Amino acid sequence: MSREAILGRIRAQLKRGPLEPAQAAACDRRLAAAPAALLPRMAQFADRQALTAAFCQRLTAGGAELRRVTAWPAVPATVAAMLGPAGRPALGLAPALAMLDWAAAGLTVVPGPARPAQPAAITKAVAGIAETGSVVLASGPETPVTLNFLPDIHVVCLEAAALVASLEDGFGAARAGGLPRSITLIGGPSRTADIEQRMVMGAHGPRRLVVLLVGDHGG
Amino acid sequence: MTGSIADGPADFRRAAVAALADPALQQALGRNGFAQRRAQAIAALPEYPELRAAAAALKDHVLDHLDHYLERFAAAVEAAGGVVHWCDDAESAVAAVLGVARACGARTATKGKSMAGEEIGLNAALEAAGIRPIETDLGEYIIQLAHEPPSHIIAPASHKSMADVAGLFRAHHRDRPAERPLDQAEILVDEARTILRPAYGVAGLGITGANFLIAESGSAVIVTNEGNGDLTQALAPVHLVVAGIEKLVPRLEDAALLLRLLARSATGQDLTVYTTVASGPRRHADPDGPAAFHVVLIDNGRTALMGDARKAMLRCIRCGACLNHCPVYGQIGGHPYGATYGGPMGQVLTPALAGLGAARDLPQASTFCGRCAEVCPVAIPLPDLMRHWRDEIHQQALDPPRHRLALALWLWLARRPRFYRLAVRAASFGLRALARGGCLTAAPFAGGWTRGRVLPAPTGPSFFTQYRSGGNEP
Ligand code: SF4
Repeated sequence: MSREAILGRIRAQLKRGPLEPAQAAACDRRLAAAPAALLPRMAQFADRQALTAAFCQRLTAGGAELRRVTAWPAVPATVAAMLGPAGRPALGLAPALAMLDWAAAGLTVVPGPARPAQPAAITKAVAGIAETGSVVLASGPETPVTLNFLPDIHVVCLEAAALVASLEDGFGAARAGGLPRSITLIGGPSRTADIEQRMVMGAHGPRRLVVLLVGDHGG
Repeated sequence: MTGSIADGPADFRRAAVAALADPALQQALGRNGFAQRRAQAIAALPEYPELRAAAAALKDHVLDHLDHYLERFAAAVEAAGGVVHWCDDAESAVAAVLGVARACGARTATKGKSMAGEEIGLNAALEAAGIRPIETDLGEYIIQLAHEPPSHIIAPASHKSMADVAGLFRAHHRDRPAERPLDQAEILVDEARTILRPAYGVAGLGITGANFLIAESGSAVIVTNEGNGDLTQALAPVHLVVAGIEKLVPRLEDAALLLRLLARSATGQDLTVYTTVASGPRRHADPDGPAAFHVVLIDNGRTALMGDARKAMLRCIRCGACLNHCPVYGQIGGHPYGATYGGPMGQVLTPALAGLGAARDLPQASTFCGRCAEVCPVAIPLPDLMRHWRDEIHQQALDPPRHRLALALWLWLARRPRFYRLAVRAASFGLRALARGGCLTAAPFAGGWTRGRVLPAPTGPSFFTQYRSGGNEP
């Protein structure tokens, strides 16, 4: 069987048999707990305020639009204002946000996975990473993945308290309740430089990424 | 046949000479902004040297325990409801993909960019089996239309001009008005987007590569800027990952370390726009995502590198920095290497994948300037590894008789210092006699070399003569 053949070739080349129990146990410990991370300075922050500021600056440098919103009830009106006429057709919505009053803001929403003609979708991130200026989206019953990629405009709601410093922290937040089937970090609108190395936005995924930072933790 | 090529360089020398004389290619090669963007990104990361050392150590640790981590990875994929296919070579990998495609009744397969897929000639095999492969990465889509292999591991269509792309789109997108303007990158990108969109929803199979495989969780990590890999894997009913066995890392946090180096080394970004960790098929209550998850693990010659120093080649994270900084690649582009992987990393990898006989010219095609090793984010000593192959080429007598004769002659001389000095003096005299204005534009036995370069004539007595006249004893 190929499995045994591949493992056999690896062992033959490394001039040993299967790992000794002690070595195997050491590898399994390595699998069970992450080693101390080597964090660059750009992933370390003096306080929440510096962390939040870095997230906002890096996210917008990546081409995303950012709005600060004081509390969840204000989210639908802010989304409606940001979308303008693009918000008129029915919008895709992560069921995780279905309890907000979208109708009051004049928006029609369809909770569930993305449908082909939806111009925009509104989803909820589990975390934001200040090191890279990315939002972290985890799949689940309340957060369909297709909403993140199909619509032209992707609106992401993110609780300010969910901002974290590093990539490691972002992954940690995403898997806090068990590893989701899919975790995606997104740092801006889709783009390509495949034609003569010219940067063009809107390659396959959303042309606009709008992030609503909810709550005023850390200013 | 589509973009794929069976790996095995045909005639590197002839192809390289042709590439040097191709004005369109030379113009395309002049558009390389990667090196500068990388330099800026690395300059903004003061911890780069420590991260680089840690990344190399991490990959070495995995390679030294690869059998164990592969078994743990496979167990984790299966625990998540996925299937692992262990494949010795390109044929068995292709057979595994076709098996999955047939079982799920796929008529079309969308594909995210996968160099492993190129390596095993997947597109040609899918077509032969009546399954239409649709490349969704814009660069890969362009070269699929052109029936060409990629010329760069991260910018596969970098040898094409905007006019080339416009010509391809006009020829292939027949339902569009013939006279439409196609003279801006934005228009071309938009046309590709509209053409490819419907494909995601109808494909029976979504194939991606993997930048990293995570042993603890059985996950596949992909990075893209376009989002095409995500559409491919989120919308197809079956997600199939094709990846080399060396892509493994123990934990997700280990991928974080490598992610800090990958995009910076590749395009000069801190991180690509999309980074996705996929673990198994759709779960019970998930409203979307693929219903099945397969991982095709490929050896295809990789284990052949694991017995000596060449094992370091398997640290490679496919960032492309060594290509972007190579003076040879910069002159000839990727196609003359005749394989999926061009440039310095390909010169070390291809002999293992395609066989040393077919690839014997590749380890020779280097000035040994060392820039590739310098910029490699996992510190692979690429020139040293090429030297390993050169040794092996000589030991197996795969080098041309002329080379062997010249080396034998040199060896004979080198063992006889008196003759050696005489020969040096004679050569020096001869070269000076042939020189015009201190330079030679043609030299005996070196016509190929002087065709593109000027050889400075020796200016005075040899080093040895000067050394001795300084009162030193040899
Ligand atoms: S050999 Fe190093 S520089 Fe070249 S592609 Fe691989 S990781 Fe990048």
